[in-house]
Amino acid sequence: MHIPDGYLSPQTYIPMFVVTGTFWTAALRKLKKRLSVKEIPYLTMASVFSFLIMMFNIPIPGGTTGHAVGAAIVAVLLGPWTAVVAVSVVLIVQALVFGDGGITAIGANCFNMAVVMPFVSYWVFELIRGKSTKVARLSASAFLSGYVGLLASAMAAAVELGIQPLIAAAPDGKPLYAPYPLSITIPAMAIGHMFLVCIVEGMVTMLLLRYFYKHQPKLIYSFKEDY
Amino acid sequence: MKSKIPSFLLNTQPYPKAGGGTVKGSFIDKGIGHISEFYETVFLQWELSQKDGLFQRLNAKTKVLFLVLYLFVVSVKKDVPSEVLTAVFILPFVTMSRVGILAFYWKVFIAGLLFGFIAGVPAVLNVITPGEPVYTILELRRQYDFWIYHVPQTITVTREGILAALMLTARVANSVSITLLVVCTTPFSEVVKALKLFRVPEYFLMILTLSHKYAFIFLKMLRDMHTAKKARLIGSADAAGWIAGRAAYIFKKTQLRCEDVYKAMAGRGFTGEVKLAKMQHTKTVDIMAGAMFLTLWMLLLIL
Repeated sequence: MHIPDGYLSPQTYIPMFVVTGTFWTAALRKLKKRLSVKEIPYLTMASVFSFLIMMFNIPIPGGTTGHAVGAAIVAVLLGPWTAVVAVSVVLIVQALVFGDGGITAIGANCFNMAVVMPFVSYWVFELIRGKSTKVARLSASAFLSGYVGLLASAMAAAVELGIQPLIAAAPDGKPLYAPYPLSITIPAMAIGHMFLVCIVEGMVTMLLLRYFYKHQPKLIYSFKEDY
Repeated sequence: MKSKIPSFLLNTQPYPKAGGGTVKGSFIDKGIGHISEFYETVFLQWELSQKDGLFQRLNAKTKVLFLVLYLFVVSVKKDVPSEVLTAVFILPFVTMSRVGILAFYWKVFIAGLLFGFIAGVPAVLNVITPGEPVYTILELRRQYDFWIYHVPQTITVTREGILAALMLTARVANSVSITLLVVCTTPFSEVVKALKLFRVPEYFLMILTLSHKYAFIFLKMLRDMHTAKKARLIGSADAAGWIAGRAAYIFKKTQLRCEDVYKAMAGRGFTGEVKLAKMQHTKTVDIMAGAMFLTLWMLLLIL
């Protein structure tokens, strides 16, 4: 889901940098208020945790393995604003070190995976969990938070790619950037994610949350107000 | 661009079994393989950035400016010849930077093929990009219309579609070559410091630098845990449970390390004000290179 360079027109990637930049500024301000001088080590370690989560492969049907984005579990464990910074740092390092995702697309990729996904995941988790502490309900909330969060993120990417033929085509209609219209990008991303990748994300989120709930419930950001 | 790390240290292939066949690695092994890839990539970049080439001699600020300006020019060009011209302009820089031209362009070719050509191939058909037919692929009995989709009776390759796929391939390949050139010739910490040019807050840059460094420490821990588990277990174990447990352990460790790092920072007089180490001084060669990049950039923009 990392959009490479060359797929987005300047009309898209420049505004995406502005929008994501606004979220980064808001997140850093919010966290500075909460953490004061502890902000740097806290966010560093949150980023490292987020980076490591992406290293864990789990088997998926069909004999292959996949890894999670990890934004959902980071949002539930550390809070959505922390996830905005932590996942963004990981995406920037990935773009600069591994070439996963383009440099011009950093704004868009961070918006999809480090803004949309943590907030949607967190809200879904809170909505379904309510105040319940039953393992079954918590598991369902965690699975759905990962599943829906990633799906929302994929849809954001699909829209960014799908509007390219509309906003940045040559006068003769030739697409200049991502060539597929919304009628193709949305179903393509939705089907690919709904039946495979979102399940992986949901499972990783559920497995980790269940473990944390059993052994270290006080560390979970979402539960903190319950204690 | 071959690293000097011995191959046996990077081996993630299945191990040979006595009596033939191989021992299949588990999915956890695959994850551990990712860690080796991380080490190799970072080591390779560090090794290339120490060579005596054109880009290695330049200040990171000049290179980041080159990266941003040239990625922009690649993204605004609207035809294939302009993209080819940009590639021609970049070629001498790659050659003079001694990054191993064949391996460098092999990587660019693979990226262009995967993310440009293969991803763009379906767009050559008139189903996606209508236009002047060049080659007929299939003749259906009739045209099909359902919801917002329209499949014409004759499925053809269109001129506009071919140009769109070529454009995407050329743009992806050029972007990859520009990014690789800068990333391979500049240590990561210098790239991050150079982002100050764009007024990125220093504490955000510090988080980036520290995360990159601590990722190494924790990746090593993760690998050690896996090795310890493999050495103690014969047969299968509850792998999903093990992963959840290790992730939780890593989380707890990061929380503890956060406290340690904070105490170390506070002990050294940290009060919340971040000052990153100063960047290398701008030398005459940087000014000359910057002027050359800017001139060529303007030329490319006009052409």
